[in-house]
This record gives sequence, structure tokens and C-alpha cells, in this order.
Amino acid sequence: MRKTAEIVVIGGGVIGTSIAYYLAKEGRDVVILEKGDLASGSSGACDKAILMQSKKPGIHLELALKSAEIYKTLTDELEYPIEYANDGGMIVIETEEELAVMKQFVKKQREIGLGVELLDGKQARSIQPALADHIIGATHSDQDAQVNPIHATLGFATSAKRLGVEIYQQTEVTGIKVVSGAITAVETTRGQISTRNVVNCTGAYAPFLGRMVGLNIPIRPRRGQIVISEPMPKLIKGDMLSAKYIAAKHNPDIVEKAKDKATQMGIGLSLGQADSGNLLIGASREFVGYDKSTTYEALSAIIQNAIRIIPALKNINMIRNFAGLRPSTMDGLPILGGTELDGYYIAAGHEGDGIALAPITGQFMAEIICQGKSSIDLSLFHISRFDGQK
Amino acid sequence: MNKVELAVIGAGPAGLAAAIEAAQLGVKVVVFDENAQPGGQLFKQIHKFFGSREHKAGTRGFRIGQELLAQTEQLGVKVNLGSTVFGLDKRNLWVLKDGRTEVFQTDAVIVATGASENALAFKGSTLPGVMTAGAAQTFINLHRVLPGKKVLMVGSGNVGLIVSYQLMQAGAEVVGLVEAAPQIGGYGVHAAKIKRAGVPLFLGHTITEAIGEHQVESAVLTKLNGRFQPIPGSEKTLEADTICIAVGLTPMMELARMAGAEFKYAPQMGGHVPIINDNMETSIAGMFVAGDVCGVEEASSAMEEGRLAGVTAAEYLEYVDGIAAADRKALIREQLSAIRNGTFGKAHPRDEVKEENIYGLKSSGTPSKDELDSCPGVPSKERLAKGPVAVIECVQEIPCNPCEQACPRGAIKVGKPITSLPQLTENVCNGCASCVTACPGLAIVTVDRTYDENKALVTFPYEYLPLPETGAIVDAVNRQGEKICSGQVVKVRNNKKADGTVAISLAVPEEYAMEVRSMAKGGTK
Amino acid sequence: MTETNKKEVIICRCEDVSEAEIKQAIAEGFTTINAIKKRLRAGMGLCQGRTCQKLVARIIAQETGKSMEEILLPTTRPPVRPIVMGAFEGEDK
Repeated sequence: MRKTAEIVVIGGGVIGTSIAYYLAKEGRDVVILEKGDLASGSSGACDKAILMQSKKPGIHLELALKSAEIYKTLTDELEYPIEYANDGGMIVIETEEELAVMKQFVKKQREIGLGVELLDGKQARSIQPALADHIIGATHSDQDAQVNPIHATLGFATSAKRLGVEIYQQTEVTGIKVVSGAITAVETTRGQISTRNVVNCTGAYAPFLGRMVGLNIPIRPRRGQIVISEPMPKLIKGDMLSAKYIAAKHNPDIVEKAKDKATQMGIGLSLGQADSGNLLIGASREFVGYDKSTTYEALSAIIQNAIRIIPALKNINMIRNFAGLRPSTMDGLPILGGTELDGYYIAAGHEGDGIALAPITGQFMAEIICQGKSSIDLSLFHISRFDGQK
Repeated sequence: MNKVELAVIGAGPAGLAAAIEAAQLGVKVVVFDENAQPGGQLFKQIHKFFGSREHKAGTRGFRIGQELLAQTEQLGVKVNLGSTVFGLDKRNLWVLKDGRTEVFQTDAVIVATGASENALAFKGSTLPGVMTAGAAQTFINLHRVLPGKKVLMVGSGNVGLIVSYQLMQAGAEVVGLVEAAPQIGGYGVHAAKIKRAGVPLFLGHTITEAIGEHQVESAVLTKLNGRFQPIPGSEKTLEADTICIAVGLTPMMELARMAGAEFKYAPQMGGHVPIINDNMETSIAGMFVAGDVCGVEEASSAMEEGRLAGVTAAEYLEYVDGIAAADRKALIREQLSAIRNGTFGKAHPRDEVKEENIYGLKSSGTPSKDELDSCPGVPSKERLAKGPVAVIECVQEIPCNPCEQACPRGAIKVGKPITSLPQLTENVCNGCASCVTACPGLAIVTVDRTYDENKALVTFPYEYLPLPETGAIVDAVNRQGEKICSGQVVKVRNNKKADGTVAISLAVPEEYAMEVRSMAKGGTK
Repeated sequence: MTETNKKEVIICRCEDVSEAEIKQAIAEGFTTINAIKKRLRAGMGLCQGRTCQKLVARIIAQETGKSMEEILLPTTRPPVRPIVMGAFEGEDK
């Protein structure tokens, strides 16, 4: 393993590989340290959605739109089959209450410039014939897209390697040496690397890497369980969420105050179909620490929820399931930028939006690291926003 | 949520034996099995089992399964067939039954899920016609369908040997048996059966290609050097329409693993196995294992392990105190070590090539002259000259003793350990041939050198159809399956007690008395 | 059955992954069962690696010199058999 590097990126998920790639494009000397395999963390436990519709109107959505733009040409740029498609996305609406919430949501999104429309049941079914009869409507956006998150990660990694980045897998960071307020080295299970710059891209595990330098990084893992079906002929076009999911994502009170188990687990539909034909059916939103097991309760609730919306799922087999840990912050925005510690950068806390925001995160973080600041104002994402908060 | 006191996952020999033992001690047991029939691997086994009487030696496998099931039912154990345990979360079972899922909470669980067959990859291995030996066995013994007519068997462990034999019984031709090692992996007597039937053995070979347009039409075998690498230029092609793979089993430990039990890698046991103490307890309190899932072995040891797990579970659930449990376990452990004393027990690292005789029976499927000369079951020349006598060509130590019990005159002794070679008291033996049809390995014949002036009568066990007619002239074959002379069928004895093993008496020229050991299948080659 | 399939040694039959592809991935730095699964889909098919996992492990051992013991097993998850999703319908359990 290398003894020195200009920049050490810790974390071989989609965020770390993206940042390493953009840094390498700027001619920087970069090394990635990954404790497991590439994409063995949350990046390997996602669905395929690059959703604009689920983003908070504001800077969050702005970033997402920029990122989506980059995705359009990323396959060619990385020369890697990342299975990108621009097949649109739909949020299904089952009740009048949900309809009211979504109407407001759509209004705000259109004000920002997102192309999204409100459809009635008939129109929704013409796009997704598999929808159940009781669906009263849906929102739809042509700007929603899909990608294979594992391949996106491997694509960034492969291109980064081509540009000279060295990637060390099965290499866990055990400590970060700081001398007189500056980083001097990163200690790992395979030896030490001298460096002055570290980028913490460890997602749900970011707090541990923060503690190594006395930094409090307020990220909590939020588990999402996903069911995988056997490969099927094309059943679902693009991404699908339920308005219930949006409600859970943006109004955490609903989850906290709920009496029924399904709502307590934050169950809301997220559905997509991989290029391989497998359906990815989610999802739960649970705070259970770092436990990545899948539970009967959640899987049963996820499946029953999905069957209610797509009845054809009744006769399809589940072949596997998994759980991913969304790196959650209190305000739902990632932590991007530098810190009080010179040379210590953070790019973590993307919640369930890591895949969608990976390209733009890579780009802006490279700017911040190479030029000292980003070309747009990203102060809303800076870690200092948590100062003084519990 | 359903509650169960003791759940046993798997209704094979280990699971059923565990259920019986625990139920006898008062535990309320529920057994779950994904199959429609109980018995695990037993329900496909049509051959007679080895072991001791307690292990139902001499009984055909599927009957053992039925007997075990009957015992569990008598004891009030609920056996849920067609119930797939698809998840295990500590001690909660996720079950699919009748198209509905349910969770069963348990106080204790015994995982007895057995082992699954290994795959082998080679060029063309995805052609239709390539299947595991177990799959072929399910076809023929359960569904009564021949998967093909010309079968190449890859692997000479007991599974490969037994299934080859069963395929021939079902009417297929076994065009060859391939084994990478220089010696046979399974019991010598199983190999002897297929050798007598004329199946060519290719030791020190492997399959390198399956050829065919839309299905298997032929197979290419290549010889291996001392380091198991193919020797270029040594290829041979055999015509075949089916290739059966019998290259070992791996414990199906997924349920135990997902529940969090600790594991270790043990290649001689088949792969990853749960770490257990000698009470069959895993690292999870209240979770026990038994049978192939904790190390690939055999049905008889599976049953004993099951019993051990059953007692331990009963103890854990406080149905029996420590002292009574210890006594019961001591007896069971005695049985287990008796079985394991032979070459095939878990006590022996199976990967080692032991200082076993790699000549003779193990290397060719035929006992060598030395092996026969020193075999305590083979009578002396003098005794042979006096009249009918048994010739027990059992030259390998395996745990088995039905011959001892079959002899009405006590002329056969195996004793303890039951892996000892049977000894014939030649002057007590009168050649009645009761042992001939009792030996599960079909290793015994009787020879009467005084039958006639120039003819000897050889009585051998036979399990093929069609049976010959009395008086028919047939091809008599030696241990290698080669026709060495003609013989006339003098008697065909098909006793109910012998459960399908027929004793055929063949009059052959005197000089071949100690060579003829069977007849060609169907009479002529 | 494609002609190429017959010439190659197929390791993962569910996803059609050949021995050559696996060896190539190992050379590129994908040296665990999980890494090969992510890169090539070997083990993601209908049987979820029940057929190919041991074969993949052996190839890794052969190519990297790791012992079979050192090769990390992927996480074992339910279901151990494909389960039709309609079986989950019913009251909140």
C-alpha cells in the first residue's frame, strides 16, 4: 500500500468514488480506502431511483436537477454500463388527503422549475397499466431517471483508476493523526498513509470517522428494507413512489405519532424494475442503529403495501431482500464541505438521495477541495449549521 | 403468532430421530419439512442400509423413513409436511404453508436441514441432460421416469455409486463412472456391485466437456496427473445422453447462519458448519443442530446426532434433569462412536488419503487377491471342497452387521465394533444362503463345489429385472463384470423376507467357482 | 443454448457468468464473493448463489492464493426458497 497521498478519500461507495473521480480529473493524487468492497455499504443496498420529485423544493432540488443533468451523459463519460435510463417517475395517490398534500407539493416544485404534472387515475394507468383500480391519481415527472447504483459506483471507480487513483479495499481506517491542528496521516489495518487531506465519505459510519478527530458529525443510520423479486418481463416503467412515502419522508411526525406498525416502520412504496428484470420493492424507514437485518414484520408490510398498489405482485416470487442504512441528518440535507479541521472534508448524510446526488457531490466537493470554495453557495450544507444544536 | 415448544426443522433421519427422542421425554414437538413426504433423503433411497439393527440395517431407506414417521405419530408429534421454513430469526420460524406465511415462536429449535449437492462446471455443463445424481435419483425413485438412457456418472462417493446402481435397476445403461482421485471414494461393496454389472471405472480422470447440439450427446474425459491437472492429449469421448454429477455435498446451513449461529470452515465435513459442543448445541441458546447440516456423514449417524440433540433440547426445556440426560447421552454417544470407528465417520478428516489400501477394492472396485486371501469371511480350500458354504467377500471396515443376525446357525461373527470384518466359522456354516440376501452390500455368495462332477453351484444376490427363468442359460460374469463362461439357472429364490433381493443359483463349470460372482443383466451381454 | 455458452465454462447458470469473466474480474481487483457478485451478477439469480457460490469461492482461492477458509461468505438472508409474495397477505402479524 502507498505510504503517502495528497488526498485520502475514506469510503468506497458512490459518494467516495465520485469525489475521487472528479478530483482525479483535476489532476490530484488520490487514494480511496474502503473497509469492505466497493459499494458494500449503502450504495450496494439501494433501489435505482434518481428522483427529482422526492427532493425538498429549494437548494436540495436544485442540486438534484444539476446532478440529473450530469447523469444523462455519464455512461459515455465513464465508459461504463451504468444502466442509466430516463424513464420518468410517478408518485401514486390513493386518498383524497394524499391528493391535497401532493397538490401543494407539486405547486412548490413547479415554482422551482421542476417539470411535474398531476394526473388522474385513468392517465396514471395509461403510463403504468399495472396500477390497481383504486388509485385516484398520481404525479409524474419526465425528469425522474434511473441508474444501477452498484454500476454507478463501479463506473466512477473504474474511471478514477484509469486516471491514476489507487483503491484499497478490505482496508479499514483505524485512526487519523492530527498534529498542531493539521492532519498528518491516516492509520489503517494495512499500515499508515501520510497525508494532509481526508474526505469522509463513509455515509452512515461518518460519525466514527469524525470522532477520530474530535468532530461531532450528527448522522444517524435509518434502515430501509427492500424486497427483490425474480426477474420478470417489463411490468413497471421508471420509478414509483407512493404519496404515503413522501408524507413519511417529509413529515417525520406522522411516523412518530403513528399507532399502526406499518406506519411506525415508515412503510411507503418505492418500486422499480432493474434492467435484469428483477423488481425492487421497498421500503421501510426505521431507526434501529446499525442493524442491517431484515425483519418479517417489515417485509410483510412492504409486500402487502406493494400488492395493494400493484396487484400483479401477488403471483410473483420474492427471491431475496436486503437492508440499507440511509445516512440521515436532522434536516434531511447532506453534509458537504470543509470543517474547522484544516484538510478534513465531509461528504456524507445524503439520506436516501445519495445515488441521485452523487455526480454533483463529486463535482462540488472537488471544487471545494481544489479551489477552496464551490461555484455556488453551499453554506446550507455546511456542518456548522448544527453548531449549538443537540 | 403461533407458539411451539420445540420446533424441529427437517423431517429427515436426524430431525425425526430428534423429535422421537424429545417426545419420549415429554416435550411437545412440532416438525416442519418442505417436502410432501417425510424422511429427507431417505424417501428416495431404495437400497438396503448398512449399520446395525438399531439403525435398521438391512432395511430399504424409504421404509426407514416410513417407520420413523410412524414412531413420531405414535408419540403425538405434529409433523407439518409441505411447510417451508424460509427464515429463522433467533428462534422464530418464518414458515410458508398452503400458500400462506406464518411466524412460529419457539422455546427451542433443532435445525436438521441436511446438505445439498455440489455443482461442477465444465464446458457444456449447462446442456440439458447434465444434472446432479440426486436429481436423477428423484426422477427414477420418486417419479419413475428415466432421465436418459446412457448415463455417465461423475464422482465415486457413495452417492455416485448408489445412484449408478439404481439407474441400472431402472433400466438405464451406465456408460462409465469418472473419479478424479486414484481411488474410489465410497464403500468398496457399492463399487463392486457396479463393477460386476460391467460399468467401466475411470479413476484419475475428470470430465472436461459435454458435447451436443441441444442436449448432451457425448462427454469428453481427460486423465489427470498427480496434481489433479488434465493431461493434454489423453482425452477420450464417450457417448452419453445424461451426465450425473455426484461430487459431494455441502451442509444447508443457511437457516442456522441467518439466525446468527457461529460457524467454521471444515472441508472434511463438506464446507461451513455450525460450531457446536458435544451436546449438538450451537452458539445460540436453545438452538441445536443434527445430521448432515453439521457435517456430511450418513443416515445412521444423523439419527444418533438427532437423538443427542433431542435429549439436549429436552434438558434445556427442563423435561429431564442433568443426570438422567447424561446417562441417555452416554448411550447415544457409544452408538455414535461405534459407527464412526470406520473409515467414513466424522472423526476422520476425509480429505486425507489415509494409509488405506489403495490397491484392490478401492482402486478398481474389485477385491485384490491379497484382500481375498486375508479375508476372514472367505472359507478355506478344504472347506470349499466339502460342500456348500458362504463366501463373504467383505474386505473393508464399514459399520455394518446384518449378516451376523441373518445366519440361523450363528456361523457369522462381526461383534463389536460393528466395523469389524465378518468372520466365518466355516464348519458351522452349511451354505444355506440366508446371508446372501441379507447383506446390504451384496458381498456374499455361496459356493458348492460338490454340486456335480464338473459343475459348481454359485448362489448370488440379484436385484435387477427381468429375473431369469429356471433352466435358462445365461452369461456368468466375474467380479469385473466380464463374461467368463455360461451358466444354467438352477434356482431363483424371491423370498418376501429378502425384500426384493433375489438369490439366483447358477451351475457353472467347476474351474470358475471362485470367479463367477453374478450374471449379465438380462441374461446375456 | 448459445454456441459461445458451449465453449465457455459457465459458473453462474442463472446469470450466465463464465469462468473467464470471473477470472478477469479477480484480476481487476474484485476478490471477494460479494465483489464478484456486484460486478458480474454471479449469485444474484434465481437460485441466489446456491449453485455457484462454492465454485466462485474455489476460483477466488485458485487465483488469489487465499484459502477457502479466508474467503468471506456473503450475508445469509431469508428467504431460503423463493416465496410468492401473495402468501404474505393477511392481517397485520
